[in-house]
Amino acid sequence: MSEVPRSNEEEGKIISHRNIYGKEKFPPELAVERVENLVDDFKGYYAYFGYAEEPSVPMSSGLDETVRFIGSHISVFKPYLTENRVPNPGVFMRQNCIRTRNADKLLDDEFFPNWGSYFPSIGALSAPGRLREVCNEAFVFFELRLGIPRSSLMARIKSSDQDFLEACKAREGLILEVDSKKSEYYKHKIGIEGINGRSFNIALRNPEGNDFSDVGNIIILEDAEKQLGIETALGATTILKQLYGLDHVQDCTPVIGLQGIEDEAIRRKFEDAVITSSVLYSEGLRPFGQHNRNRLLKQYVRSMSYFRAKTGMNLESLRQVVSGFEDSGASGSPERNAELIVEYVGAFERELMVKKHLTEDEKKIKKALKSLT
Amino acid sequence: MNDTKNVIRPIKLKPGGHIRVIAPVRSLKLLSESSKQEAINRLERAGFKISFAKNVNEMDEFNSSSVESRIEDLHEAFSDKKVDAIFTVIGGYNSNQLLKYLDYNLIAKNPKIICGFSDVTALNNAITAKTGMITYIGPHFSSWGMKYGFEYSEEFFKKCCMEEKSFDLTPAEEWSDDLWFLDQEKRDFIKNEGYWKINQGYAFGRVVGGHVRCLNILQGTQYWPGLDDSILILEEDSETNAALFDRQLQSLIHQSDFFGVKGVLIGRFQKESKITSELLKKIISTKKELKNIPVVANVDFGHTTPIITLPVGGSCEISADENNVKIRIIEH
Repeated sequence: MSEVPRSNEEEGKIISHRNIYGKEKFPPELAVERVENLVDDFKGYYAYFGYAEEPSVPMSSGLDETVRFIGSHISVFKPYLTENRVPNPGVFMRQNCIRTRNADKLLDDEFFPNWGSYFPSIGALSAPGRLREVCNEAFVFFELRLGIPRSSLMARIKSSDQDFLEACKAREGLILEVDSKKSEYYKHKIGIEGINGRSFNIALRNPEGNDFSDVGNIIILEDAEKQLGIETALGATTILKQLYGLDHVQDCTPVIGLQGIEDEAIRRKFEDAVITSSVLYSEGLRPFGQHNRNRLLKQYVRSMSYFRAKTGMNLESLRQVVSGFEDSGASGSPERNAELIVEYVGAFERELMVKKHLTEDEKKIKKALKSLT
Repeated sequence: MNDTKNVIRPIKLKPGGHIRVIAPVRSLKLLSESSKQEAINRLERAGFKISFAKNVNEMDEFNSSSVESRIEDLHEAFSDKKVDAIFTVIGGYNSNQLLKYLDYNLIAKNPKIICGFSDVTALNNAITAKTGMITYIGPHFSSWGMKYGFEYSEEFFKKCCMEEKSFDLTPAEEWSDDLWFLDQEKRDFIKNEGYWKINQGYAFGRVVGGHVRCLNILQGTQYWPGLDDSILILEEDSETNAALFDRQLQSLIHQSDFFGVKGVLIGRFQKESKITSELLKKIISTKKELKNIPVVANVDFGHTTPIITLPVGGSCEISADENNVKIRIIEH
């Protein structure tokens, strides 16, 4: 193998008081650059190995009918699997994703979101039979491109997955954690009947040196008869959270103006609502209609009323917050919808004040808004 | 369930922008030379560049032209990168002949303002349904040929098609139902009594509709714009009357997605229709589906002048209480 191109990260600037990776939290204004550098590193790295780039698709495109939003690049890769045409060595992509697991709990004051709904995902799909190469490519990416020592990398594997065990054992010094999780943890469904995935997870040592957290996985996709492809799925923001010791993955898509909110759960959910609304508006989705995508967006948009009420924020300040997020470039779109989003928030609030039959969530938002005035 | 497309907002028209005039309904040849020149002059005074589609003067026994010619002009207008907005010449009866032959992908990939009213309702609602692109129910090219009483129309066209901000509608001070194009110097303006508040209430939704019978012809087709969370805009011309309007409205109510209508705006009726405030109240009161939603009529759109411009596929807020009616165009 020829020399692997080096990372965008500057080298030789490690200061002793920094975390075990020689890094410290970055300020919000550098977040977009950090994410994009990592994505570019990933893309450059896989292109170097001969993978072809697959263009990303809008998250609300409905391209994959088995999901409401694109929540993984596998949605885009599916035709390669169903048509049995995964190229050698493979394809890679950056795909912005939405997972709406927080949506139903946004107004639950006890709920703390460990994950943001929006995140950029980086991944690759490789031809069947290349497991050893795929594992090497992934681990070399961590070790050489991101400068992570092998002693800080862990593979979480199920003992019955001998192929994974063999591939990982071949990387001397790689920490293996076998059968530490329930068996579901190692299984994947991708919404195609007859095709299943089994995986091992890649974890990075926590920045303080203790324990490990998952940042990605390698998945063999197969039907009853044969292997169809091997997916490498990495979370750009989870990697950065580990590397830089961030408090939360959403610090990779910071929302300026909300950092001062004392209640961390409110702050993170408020951020999530701003980020998710903003990225979905930029795709043209609107909180109208019966489709699940539109209804989910409505939950995020309406929750902004609750959060602004809880934090004593007026609509103009909310507009500035959304606008600041858009200006940061973290939404990944040149669209500017802050004014429009806040018009929608205001209109829904006015509707709430006169609406006769309210849901429990609506009652909660209305009560919060009344306390604001 | 209607799967509403994601919104595509055309780029706003800027001073100096290039407007292409097309005739998807009746021919440009139908206009008098003086009316045509007056429209060109007014648009040029407003700072626009005007060009005419290749087949715009073709005219058959229906005062229109072949489907092929009209499709060619419409596709050319959308694909020409030098064109910023598209105005329709005038209304008529046959823009729905085009719907099957339109290249909706081409339109979605080249979004631009398309503005007209009356029969253009069918064309614009279909484009919005198939692409998600906001289209505009507002002045035709021919409307710009009006010498007097057009300022209000121009003001609201600019708010909707040239500016980004949400805006409130205000009733025109006066209106007219005269045949202005026959004698531009002899106009008959009537003081506006303001909105007719048929039902009170609040609504916020997606704008859908236009000329009632032209909207009706989309029912049950793939070009139906859907009524989920909608503000239904309805207008008619002098061919209608109270009974006919009632029948067409009832037909809309029979749509399976009518439950999604959150509010209704009705444009001013022409005198010849003889639809008064009392008659309209009577019609609306017989529809239980409209009982709990705001219905405001005598709004400045339709076949009287002047007219506002409304964004099909955009959004609108209606607030009608005992004292006030407020109509705000949110997204356009």
